[in-house]
Amino acid sequence: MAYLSFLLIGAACLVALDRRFRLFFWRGPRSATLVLVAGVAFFLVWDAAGILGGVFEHGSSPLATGVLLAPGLPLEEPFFLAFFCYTAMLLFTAAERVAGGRR
Amino acid sequence: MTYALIDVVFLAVVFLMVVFLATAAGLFRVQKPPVAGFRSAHRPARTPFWRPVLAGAAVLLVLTAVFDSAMIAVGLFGYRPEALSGLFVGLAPVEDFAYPLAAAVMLPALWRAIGPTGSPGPAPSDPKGDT
Repeated sequence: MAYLSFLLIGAACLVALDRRFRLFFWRGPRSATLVLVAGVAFFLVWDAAGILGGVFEHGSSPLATGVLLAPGLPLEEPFFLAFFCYTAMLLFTAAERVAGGRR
Repeated sequence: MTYALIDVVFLAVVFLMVVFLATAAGLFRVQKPPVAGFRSAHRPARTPFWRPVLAGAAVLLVLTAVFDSAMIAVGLFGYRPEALSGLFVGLAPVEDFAYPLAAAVMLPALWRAIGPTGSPGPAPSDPKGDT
Protein backbone atom coordinates (compact mmCIF):
# COMPACT_ATOMS: atom_id res chain seq x y z
CA MET A 1 0.00 0.00 0.00
CA ALA A 2 2.92 2.34 0.76
CA TYR A 3 4.15 2.19 -2.85
CA LEU A 4 0.73 3.11 -4.25
CA SER A 5 0.41 5.93 -1.70
CA PHE A 6 3.81 7.32 -2.70
CA LEU A 7 2.79 7.27 -6.35
CA LEU A 8 -0.46 9.10 -5.60
CA ILE A 9 1.26 11.69 -3.40
CA GLY A 10 3.89 12.18 -6.11
CA ALA A 11 1.19 12.58 -8.73
CA ALA A 12 -0.56 15.18 -6.56
CA CYS A 13 2.71 17.16 -6.44
CA LEU A 14 2.95 16.99 -10.23
CA VAL A 15 -0.63 18.22 -10.53
CA ALA A 16 0.22 21.19 -8.28
CA LEU A 17 3.21 22.09 -10.46
CA ASP A 18 1.22 21.62 -13.65
CA ARG A 19 -1.55 23.86 -12.33
CA ARG A 20 0.78 26.54 -11.04
CA PHE A 21 2.85 26.80 -14.22
CA ARG A 22 0.15 25.74 -16.73
CA LEU A 23 2.44 23.22 -18.35
CA PHE A 24 0.47 20.21 -19.55
CA PHE A 25 -3.12 19.48 -18.48
CA TRP A 26 -3.56 23.18 -17.73
CA ARG A 27 -2.30 24.06 -21.20
CA GLY A 28 -4.07 21.52 -23.39
CA PRO A 29 -6.29 19.22 -21.33
CA ARG A 30 -7.51 17.11 -24.23
CA SER A 31 -4.11 16.61 -25.86
CA ALA A 32 -2.55 16.00 -22.46
CA THR A 33 -5.07 13.25 -21.71
CA LEU A 34 -4.40 11.65 -25.08
CA VAL A 35 -0.60 11.80 -24.65
CA LEU A 36 -0.82 10.29 -21.16
CA VAL A 37 -3.22 7.51 -22.14
CA ALA A 38 -1.13 6.68 -25.23
CA GLY A 39 2.03 6.63 -23.11
CA VAL A 40 0.56 4.34 -20.44
CA ALA A 41 -0.85 1.98 -23.09
CA PHE A 42 2.47 1.82 -24.94
CA PHE A 43 4.52 1.11 -21.82
CA LEU A 44 1.99 -1.50 -20.62
CA VAL A 45 2.57 -3.38 -23.88
CA TRP A 46 6.33 -3.07 -23.30
CA ASP A 47 5.85 -4.38 -19.75
CA ALA A 48 3.73 -7.25 -21.08
CA ALA A 49 6.54 -8.21 -23.45
CA GLY A 50 8.96 -8.27 -20.50
CA ILE A 51 6.58 -10.30 -18.36
CA LEU A 52 5.85 -12.82 -21.13
CA GLY A 53 9.55 -12.95 -22.00
CA GLY A 54 10.34 -13.87 -18.41
CA VAL A 55 12.44 -10.78 -17.69
CA PHE A 56 10.72 -9.57 -14.53
CA GLU A 57 10.33 -11.29 -11.25
CA HIS A 58 7.78 -9.47 -9.17
CA GLY A 59 8.90 -9.22 -5.63
CA SER A 60 6.54 -9.95 -2.77
CA SER A 61 7.25 -6.65 -1.05
CA PRO A 62 5.09 -5.68 1.93
CA LEU A 63 5.08 -2.17 0.40
CA ALA A 64 2.94 -3.34 -2.50
CA THR A 65 -0.79 -4.08 -2.32
CA GLY A 66 -0.15 -7.53 -3.74
CA VAL A 67 -3.13 -7.14 -6.06
CA LEU A 68 -2.36 -8.37 -9.57
CA LEU A 69 -4.16 -7.09 -12.67
CA ALA A 70 -2.74 -9.99 -14.68
CA PRO A 71 -0.09 -12.60 -13.92
CA GLY A 72 3.08 -10.64 -13.15
CA LEU A 73 1.39 -7.24 -13.48
CA PRO A 74 0.80 -5.52 -10.14
CA LEU A 75 -2.04 -3.02 -9.61
CA GLU A 76 0.56 -0.31 -9.06
CA GLU A 77 2.09 -0.57 -12.54
CA PRO A 78 -0.41 1.55 -14.50
CA PHE A 79 -0.23 4.17 -11.74
CA PHE A 80 3.54 4.12 -11.95
CA LEU A 81 3.47 4.47 -15.74
CA ALA A 82 1.03 7.39 -15.59
CA PHE A 83 3.22 9.08 -12.98
CA PHE A 84 6.30 8.38 -15.09
CA CYS A 85 4.78 9.75 -18.31
CA TYR A 86 3.44 12.81 -16.47
CA THR A 87 6.93 13.46 -15.06
CA ALA A 88 8.44 13.13 -18.54
CA MET A 89 5.96 15.63 -19.97
CA LEU A 90 6.34 18.16 -17.16
CA LEU A 91 10.13 18.03 -17.60
CA PHE A 92 9.76 18.59 -21.33
CA THR A 93 7.20 21.38 -21.09
CA ALA A 94 9.19 23.09 -18.34
CA ALA A 95 12.42 22.86 -20.39
CA GLU A 96 10.50 24.14 -23.40
CA ARG A 97 9.31 27.10 -21.35
CA VAL A 98 12.85 27.87 -20.21
CA ALA A 99 14.29 27.50 -23.73
CA GLY A 100 11.57 29.43 -25.52
CA GLY A 101 10.33 31.85 -22.93
CA ARG A 102 11.78 35.25 -23.61
CA ARG A 103 10.15 37.31 -20.96
CA MET B 1 14.27 -13.84 -24.20
CA THR B 2 16.63 -11.09 -23.06
CA TYR B 3 15.51 -7.72 -21.79
CA ALA B 4 17.91 -6.00 -24.23
CA LEU B 5 16.23 -7.66 -27.21
CA ILE B 6 12.79 -6.50 -26.04
CA ASP B 7 14.19 -2.98 -25.60
CA VAL B 8 15.64 -2.96 -29.11
CA VAL B 9 12.29 -3.94 -30.60
CA PHE B 10 10.37 -1.27 -28.65
CA LEU B 11 12.98 1.43 -29.21
CA ALA B 12 12.74 0.70 -32.94
CA VAL B 13 8.98 1.24 -32.71
CA VAL B 14 9.61 4.49 -30.80
CA PHE B 15 12.11 5.61 -33.43
CA LEU B 16 9.63 5.03 -36.25
CA MET B 17 6.83 6.78 -34.36
CA VAL B 18 9.04 9.76 -33.56
CA VAL B 19 10.17 10.06 -37.19
CA PHE B 20 6.53 9.95 -38.29
CA LEU B 21 5.28 12.42 -35.66
CA ALA B 22 8.24 14.76 -35.99
CA THR B 23 7.87 14.86 -39.74
CA ALA B 24 4.15 15.55 -39.38
CA ALA B 25 4.81 18.32 -36.87
CA GLY B 26 7.76 19.71 -38.85
CA LEU B 27 10.20 19.19 -36.01
CA PHE B 28 13.10 18.29 -38.30
CA ARG B 29 12.86 21.53 -40.21
CA VAL B 30 15.92 23.65 -39.65
CA GLN B 31 15.09 27.15 -38.51
CA LYS B 32 15.99 29.46 -41.32
CA PRO B 33 16.73 33.08 -40.68
CA PRO B 34 13.68 35.14 -41.62
CA VAL B 35 13.71 36.63 -45.07
CA ALA B 36 13.77 40.40 -44.78
CA GLY B 37 10.66 42.13 -46.02
CA PHE B 38 8.72 38.85 -46.10
CA ARG B 39 5.65 38.50 -43.94
CA SER B 40 7.08 35.59 -41.99
CA ALA B 41 9.86 37.87 -40.78
CA HIS B 42 7.43 39.15 -38.17
CA ARG B 43 6.44 35.72 -36.96
CA PRO B 44 8.06 34.74 -33.67
CA ALA B 45 10.81 32.13 -33.98
CA ARG B 46 9.65 28.55 -33.75
CA THR B 47 9.78 27.02 -30.29
CA PRO B 48 12.81 24.73 -30.06
CA PHE B 49 12.06 21.02 -29.72
CA TRP B 50 15.21 18.93 -29.52
CA ARG B 51 16.95 20.98 -26.86
CA PRO B 52 14.12 20.71 -24.33
CA VAL B 53 13.82 17.02 -25.24
CA LEU B 54 17.50 16.52 -24.36
CA ALA B 55 17.16 18.49 -21.14
CA GLY B 56 14.07 16.52 -20.09
CA ALA B 57 15.72 13.22 -21.03
CA ALA B 58 18.82 14.01 -18.98
CA VAL B 59 16.78 14.70 -15.84
CA LEU B 60 14.51 11.69 -16.42
CA LEU B 61 17.53 9.38 -16.78
CA VAL B 62 18.99 10.62 -13.50
CA LEU B 63 15.62 10.24 -11.73
CA THR B 64 15.40 6.71 -13.12
CA ALA B 65 18.86 5.80 -11.80
CA VAL B 66 17.87 7.03 -8.33
CA PHE B 67 14.28 5.82 -8.00
CA ASP B 68 14.63 2.59 -9.96
CA SER B 69 17.49 1.64 -7.65
CA ALA B 70 15.37 2.56 -4.63
CA MET B 71 12.41 0.50 -5.86
CA ILE B 72 14.65 -2.51 -6.53
CA ALA B 73 16.34 -2.06 -3.13
CA VAL B 74 13.01 -2.31 -1.28
CA GLY B 75 12.09 -5.38 -3.32
CA LEU B 76 9.17 -4.05 -5.36
CA PHE B 77 10.44 -6.00 -8.34
CA GLY B 78 13.42 -7.91 -9.59
CA TYR B 79 14.80 -9.44 -12.74
CA ARG B 80 15.66 -12.91 -13.87
CA PRO B 81 19.46 -12.67 -13.95
CA GLU B 82 19.81 -14.64 -17.20
CA ALA B 83 17.66 -12.06 -19.02
CA LEU B 84 20.04 -9.19 -18.18
CA SER B 85 23.28 -7.99 -19.74
CA GLY B 86 24.84 -7.60 -16.29
CA LEU B 87 25.48 -3.86 -16.60
CA PHE B 88 23.93 -1.79 -13.82
CA VAL B 89 23.64 1.86 -12.81
CA GLY B 90 23.26 1.62 -9.07
CA LEU B 91 20.90 -1.33 -8.74
CA ALA B 92 19.09 -0.56 -11.98
CA PRO B 93 19.93 -2.71 -15.01
CA VAL B 94 20.95 -0.53 -17.99
CA GLU B 95 18.08 -2.08 -19.93
CA ASP B 96 15.63 -0.19 -17.70
CA PHE B 97 16.89 3.12 -19.10
CA ALA B 98 15.21 2.40 -22.43
CA TYR B 99 11.89 3.39 -20.78
CA PRO B 100 12.88 6.99 -19.87
CA LEU B 101 14.70 7.34 -23.17
CA ALA B 102 11.54 6.36 -25.06
CA ALA B 103 9.24 8.49 -22.89
CA ALA B 104 11.43 11.58 -23.14
CA VAL B 105 11.35 11.59 -26.95
CA MET B 106 8.11 9.93 -27.97
CA LEU B 107 5.68 11.73 -25.65
CA PRO B 108 6.92 15.27 -26.48
CA ALA B 109 6.80 14.38 -30.20
CA LEU B 110 3.19 13.26 -29.82
CA TRP B 111 2.39 16.39 -27.78
CA ARG B 112 3.89 18.61 -30.47
CA ALA B 113 1.95 16.79 -33.17
CA ILE B 114 -1.45 17.00 -31.47
CA GLY B 115 -1.00 19.48 -28.63
CA PRO B 116 -1.75 23.18 -28.32
CA THR B 117 0.00 25.34 -30.87
CA GLY B 118 1.86 28.55 -30.27
CA SER B 119 4.69 29.47 -27.98
CA PRO B 120 4.65 27.99 -24.49
CA GLY B 121 5.27 31.55 -23.41
CA PRO B 122 6.59 32.82 -20.13
CA ALA B 123 5.36 31.30 -16.89
CA PRO B 124 2.01 32.77 -15.95
CA SER B 125 2.15 35.10 -13.04
CA ASP B 126 0.67 33.58 -9.94
CA PRO B 127 -3.02 34.47 -9.95
CA LYS B 128 -3.11 34.49 -6.17
CA GLY B 129 0.25 36.18 -5.84
CA ASP B 130 1.37 33.70 -3.21
CA THR B 131 4.85 32.90 -4.44
